[in-house]
Amino acid sequence: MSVPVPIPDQLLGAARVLRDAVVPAVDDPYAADVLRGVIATMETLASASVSLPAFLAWDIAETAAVLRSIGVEPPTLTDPSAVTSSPTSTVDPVELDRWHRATRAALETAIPIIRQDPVATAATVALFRARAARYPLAAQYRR
Amino acid sequence: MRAALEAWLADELGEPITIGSVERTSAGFSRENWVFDATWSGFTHRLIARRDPVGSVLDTDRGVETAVLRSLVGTTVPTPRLRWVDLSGERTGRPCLVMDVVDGVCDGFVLNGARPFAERVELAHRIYDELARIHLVDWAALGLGDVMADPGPRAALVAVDHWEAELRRVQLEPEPELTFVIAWLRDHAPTSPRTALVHGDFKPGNLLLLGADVSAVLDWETAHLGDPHEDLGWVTNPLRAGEHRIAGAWEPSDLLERWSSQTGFAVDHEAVRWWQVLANVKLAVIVLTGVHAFSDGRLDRIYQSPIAICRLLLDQIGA
Repeated sequence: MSVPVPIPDQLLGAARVLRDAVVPAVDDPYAADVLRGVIATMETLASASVSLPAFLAWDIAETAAVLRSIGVEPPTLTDPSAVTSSPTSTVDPVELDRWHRATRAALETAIPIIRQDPVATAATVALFRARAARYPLAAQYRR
Repeated sequence: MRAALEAWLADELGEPITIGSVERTSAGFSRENWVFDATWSGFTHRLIARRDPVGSVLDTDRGVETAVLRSLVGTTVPTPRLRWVDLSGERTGRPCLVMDVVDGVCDGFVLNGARPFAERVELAHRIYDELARIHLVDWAALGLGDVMADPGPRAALVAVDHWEAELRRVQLEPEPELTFVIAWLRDHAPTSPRTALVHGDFKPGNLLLLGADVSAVLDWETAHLGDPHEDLGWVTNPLRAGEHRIAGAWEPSDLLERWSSQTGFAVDHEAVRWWQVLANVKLAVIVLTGVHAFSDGRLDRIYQSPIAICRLLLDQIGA
C-alpha cells in the first residue's frame, strides 16, 4: 500500500492545522501550553522519523565495537528473518528497536568493566559524545 | 474542583464558604496549581490549592513539604501561610495543600530581565541571601529532625543512592551514560561538613518578588536535610546560568563569596563542582520521570531523552 503523503509531511501538516486552526481558539492557559508542547513534538518527530532507523543501526554497530573491545559478545538479532533482502535490506523496525535496546543494555551492564580500562573508557566516552551529536530527537526539558 | 474545595474548606472552617471561579495556572510542572477567591465571615481571601497531579516530573512527599512550611513560620525565611492540608487525597481526589496567595510576581529570569542593571545586581544579593538564611535555619530546634533523616557526613552518597534509585524506577530504556556518570559520582563523593536545611530547587522561578524584595520562597517539595553545598551546586549549575547569573556582575564566584560571608561557612569549591554534576543527574532523572509519566498516560507534557544533559555531564566530569 502506498502512502499518498509521506508520514513526516503528515505530521508537519497536522501540526500546522493545530497551530492555525486550534491554537487561536484555546483560551485556557494550561491547555494552550500543553498544545504548544504537542505541536513542537509533532515537528520533532517529523524530522526524526526519517533519520531514526539509520541512527539506531549506527548506534548498534558502534556500541557492539566497544563491547567486543572488552571481550563482551554483543547481542544479535533475535529474529534473523526480520532482515529483508529487498528492496533495500532494511530491518523490521520493531526488531531494530529490540536489538538496539539489548545492545545498550549490554553496554550499561559493562560500565564497571569499562571503567577499569582506560582505552575502553576513552572509546566509550567517544561513543557517548558521537551519539549525542547524532541523536535525532532533541530533548525538551521544562519544569 | 470548585465543589470539592468548597465542601472541604467549609468543614475546616465550620461555617459556610463561597468560592469564585477556580483557575488552573500553567505554572509548575510537578504540581497542579489552582488559584481561587474564597469568602467567609464577610472577608474574601485569595488562595491557592497545590494538588498532586496524576503524573509528574517529580514524585515527592507532601507530608515533608507540609512539615517544612509549618516549621518555617516565625523564622526569617518568608513562606506562604499554609491553611489546610489533605494528605490522604480524600478531599480533592489527590493530596492537596491550600495556602494563601502571597503578593508578588514570579519571574524565573528576572536577573536577566528588563530591570536596570544595578537593580538586578542588588536583587541577586537579596535573592541569594535568602538561600543563606535557609542554610542558617536551626532545623533541629524546629523539630525537622523528626520528619527528615539527617544524612550526616555521607550526604553526598545518600543523594547518589536516592537519585540512582529514582533513575532505576523510571527509566524505560538502558541509560549507560548516566550509569557511567553515577559511578564517577560514587568515586568522588565529598564529605559533608555540616547538615543544613536544603531547599533542593532554589531559583528565582521559585520566589515571589514584591518590588525589590523577596516576599516568599516557594516550592518546598524537594526540601530535605543535607549538605548546603547541594544548593550551591544547584544554583551555580552552568546549565541554569540564564536564571542565576548576571554576566560579569553576578558570577558563581560572587554568589559563593557572598553566601560564605552571610553564613560564616567556608565554601568547598571541589564539593560545589561535585554537586553541580549531581544537579544535572537529578535534572536528567526529572526528564526521564516525565518520559515515564507521559508513557503511562499520566502526564500531558511530552519529554524526550535528556541526551544534551548527558553530554554536559561528560564535560563536567572531565571525560
